[in-house]
Amino acid sequence: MKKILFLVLITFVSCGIPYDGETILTLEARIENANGEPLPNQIVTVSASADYDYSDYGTYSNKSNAFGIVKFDLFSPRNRAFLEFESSDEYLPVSIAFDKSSFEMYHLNLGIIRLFQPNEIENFSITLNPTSGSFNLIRIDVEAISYESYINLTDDIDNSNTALNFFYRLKKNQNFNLNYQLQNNFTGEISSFSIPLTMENSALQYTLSY
Amino acid sequence: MKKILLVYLTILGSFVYGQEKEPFIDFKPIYRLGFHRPLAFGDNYFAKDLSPSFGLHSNFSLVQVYKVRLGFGYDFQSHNVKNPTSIGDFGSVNINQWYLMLEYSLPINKEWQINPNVSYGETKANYKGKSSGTLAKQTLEEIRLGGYVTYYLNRSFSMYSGLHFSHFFNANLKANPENKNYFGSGNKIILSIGIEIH
Repeated sequence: MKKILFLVLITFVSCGIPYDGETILTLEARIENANGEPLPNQIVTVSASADYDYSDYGTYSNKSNAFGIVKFDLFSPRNRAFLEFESSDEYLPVSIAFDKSSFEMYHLNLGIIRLFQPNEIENFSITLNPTSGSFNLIRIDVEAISYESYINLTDDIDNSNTALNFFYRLKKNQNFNLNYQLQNNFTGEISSFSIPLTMENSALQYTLSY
Repeated sequence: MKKILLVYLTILGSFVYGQEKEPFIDFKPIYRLGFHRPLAFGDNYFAKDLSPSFGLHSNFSLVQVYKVRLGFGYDFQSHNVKNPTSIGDFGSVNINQWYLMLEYSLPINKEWQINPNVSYGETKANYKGKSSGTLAKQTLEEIRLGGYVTYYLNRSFSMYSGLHFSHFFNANLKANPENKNYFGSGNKIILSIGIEIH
């Protein structure tokens, strides 16, 4: 009897329901290539997990239209869900994590999702060169067309992690800005700076002196 | 408790059968069991994106009070998904309905009877995965208007055919206004046929 009860409990535990049928969300995005042209017929899937170890794949799958627009009406995922592209040899993978908190008024427009071919991007890295002990680098931001394989739109982002990012994967042949903020260690004053740079066909390393 | 029930049934029985014409309360259970086919219509998910098959139709009533019956019923219906890009490519959408039914008995002659009725109930929609269990659940309310035509085969069995108009809605659905209208309500005509045991 105990064994039967255990099996029944295990069955219930492993069969969570991944979507809330009482809430319908709308998710949309525009898919473009590195040159900003719309990409039709890109297969996009949304997968969601239940409370435990069960995940749903394949219920939500859609193709981008002639304008590169892809749109889903979907039941609200109970936990974290992922928007992903069908794996291809042509484009690098992109995964976007979202949950119910990512939506406003049951709607989320992801804007432009750019797909890059491996030969369309190059590495950009920043090396720090503190010339005096007077300033502390507190913020760094690269304003460029960049490739990110994973984007997290959920509330689970660790805000306590303030580590600065010194490595980016940028589209080749573009002008971009490296923005940063310095804080004076004695006065506390914050100063903002912007440096125009050019990404060419090869990896770029920039030394930031301050 | 058993004694009280026995006394109650004795009194009810003597009241029911003690009168020769048209008893006010008639302890006359009926049970209908058959198939139904819903035909959803309008601009909504259930009409445009789902394809129904034949479903199970059943209801039960114990007592007739001056030609009026209060019964309860259960229907089951499975749907295939016609448009997988609408709200998901589910393996099937299974609908379970429980309802209370108020019915009037209108005999035409010894063989035929018409039973206009109205019912109200709850509908549970289970969205099943293609290779797994339930992926989402939804609860709707349903109001039905219509009736049955009954043909008496003998003292115990009849055949019935039903025609009902149904309006169903999910007042608790959370969505933008457009989706709330499209996914949250609909209308259908329900055709049913089966056996009545009385």
